Amino acid sequence: MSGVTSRERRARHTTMPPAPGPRRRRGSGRRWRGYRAVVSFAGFLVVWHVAAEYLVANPLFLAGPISTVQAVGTMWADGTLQQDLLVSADEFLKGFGAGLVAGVLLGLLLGTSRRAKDYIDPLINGLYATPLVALAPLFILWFGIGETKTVLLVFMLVVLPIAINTDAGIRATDPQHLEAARSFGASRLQLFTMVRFPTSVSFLVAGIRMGIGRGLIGVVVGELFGSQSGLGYRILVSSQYFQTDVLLAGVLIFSVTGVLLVKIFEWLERRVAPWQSGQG
Amino acid sequence: MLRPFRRRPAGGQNPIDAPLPPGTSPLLEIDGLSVGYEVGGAFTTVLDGVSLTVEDGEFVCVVGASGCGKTTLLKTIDGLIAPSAGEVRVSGRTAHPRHGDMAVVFQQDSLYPWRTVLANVRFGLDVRGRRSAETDARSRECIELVGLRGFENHYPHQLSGGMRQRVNLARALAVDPTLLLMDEPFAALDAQTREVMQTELLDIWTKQRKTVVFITHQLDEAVLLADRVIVMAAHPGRIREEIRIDIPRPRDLHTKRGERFTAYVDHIWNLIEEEVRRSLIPGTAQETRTGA
Repeated sequence: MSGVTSRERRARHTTMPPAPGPRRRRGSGRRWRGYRAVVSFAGFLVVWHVAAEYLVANPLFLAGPISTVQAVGTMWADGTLQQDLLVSADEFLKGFGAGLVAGVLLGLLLGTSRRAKDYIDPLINGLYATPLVALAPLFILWFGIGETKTVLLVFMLVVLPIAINTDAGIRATDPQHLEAARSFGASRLQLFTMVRFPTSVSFLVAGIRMGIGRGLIGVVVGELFGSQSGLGYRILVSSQYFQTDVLLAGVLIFSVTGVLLVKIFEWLERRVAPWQSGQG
Repeated sequence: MLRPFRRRPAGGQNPIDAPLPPGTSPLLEIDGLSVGYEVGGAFTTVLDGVSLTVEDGEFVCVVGASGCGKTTLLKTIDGLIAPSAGEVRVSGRTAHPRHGDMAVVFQQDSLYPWRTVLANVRFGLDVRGRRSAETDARSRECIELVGLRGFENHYPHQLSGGMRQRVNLARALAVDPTLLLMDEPFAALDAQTREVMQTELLDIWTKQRKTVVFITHQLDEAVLLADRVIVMAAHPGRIREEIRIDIPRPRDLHTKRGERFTAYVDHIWNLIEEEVRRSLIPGTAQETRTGA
């Protein structure tokens, strides 16, 4: 949030005498970065297209970008896409929402009680290192092949990074900040609400960002094992019918969703925590 | 691990706690103050028998070699550290942060990065009660006083070091303390900014007439600002000498070129240099007694 646009920076640069001072390296502006992103993306599409049409040359094994996008259109037209999306979104939101609430509460407990942390931390560390998706078959055993086990899987994947980050945030509170608050006569509760919790917000943000990625993995894995609907299920079925265009369409939608969610979240972050941007 | 040696008994029962009628006592009384820490069974004395009185409206600077307990003294005055012996009284009452008659300007980085300038200045008022149009107005006044009008909605990371310290000062002034405690507030600033801030502080002090206890290691800063300079000795921290600064006010940066000014600074430097040397001799560096 420097408030200086690239154009202003360039304008300021041109008013400087050309001789003294190091010359600005070419291609370091923000606009160049944008161009490069487009070039890299276009390059990827070309490679994908060439590989699909001329190297593999068999739509049963690899669909090209054009037929993948066409598949998205077809799925939208016959309504399966909307149905699948609705199911997947429902699972994600339920699991993520529950994971967020539980994660923050757990993080608050860990961050405020040394004793609770001593008891719970080993478990959390163990669980965090475990690939929790391996539990999917067990959840099917418990809850059958419905939505529930996918929601639970998403929840399990989301809750840990959020709890760990909230805890870390509370513990990262600057002692100077606490001392200043104490000198103004802040109570223990005020130290928490006015100093410790705001400090943990930036960590919580990082936890949520991780949670989004992990939550999407939960949705896919949950739907790949014993499901009858959802985008992950569609991917699985299409591979059984060698419909790689539908398969890749599903993957494409997941990746677009992931990017979109993170972007929405970053926008939200700028609104809720404007002091974050511009600090590094 | 440092642990306070002894916790202060719950206040209230002490007969000294009852406020005295005005005019019968100095604003700040420090009486035989000792502070120590227990480190692994051994007892380290940080402050030993410090006694000091500060009159209402007086500007007192505390200087000393590093490790002499200046900051500990300030925190003990504020009630952030409990003394192991002796007492601190402000307006006749045992000092405590909850009393709300003191405010501290810390060295640096004590502004809240998630609060705007206005919200930072309002912090002390927020602690003491609900946010209102009144607290906002009060905070704006203080922001104006330190010359930061127009920056109310900036965040600390958008400000320079000097501006941040002005916010820090405004935050302390906002709660309208009778005693302003300043812990090396300009130490982290560059030399030019520091000089500007010193004169600005003098201006504000002239307008507000707060009682100030100002900790610094800059001797010229102390002589420029203070009515009285307290020179501390280290290991354990104690008062070595009190020097009344008889330089007429208003003072500004030209004061620093005066002969008298230089004489004061030299005198204090001699005291401290001696102290630094003595603390370097092995065996006397730390006075250690076994636990209480």
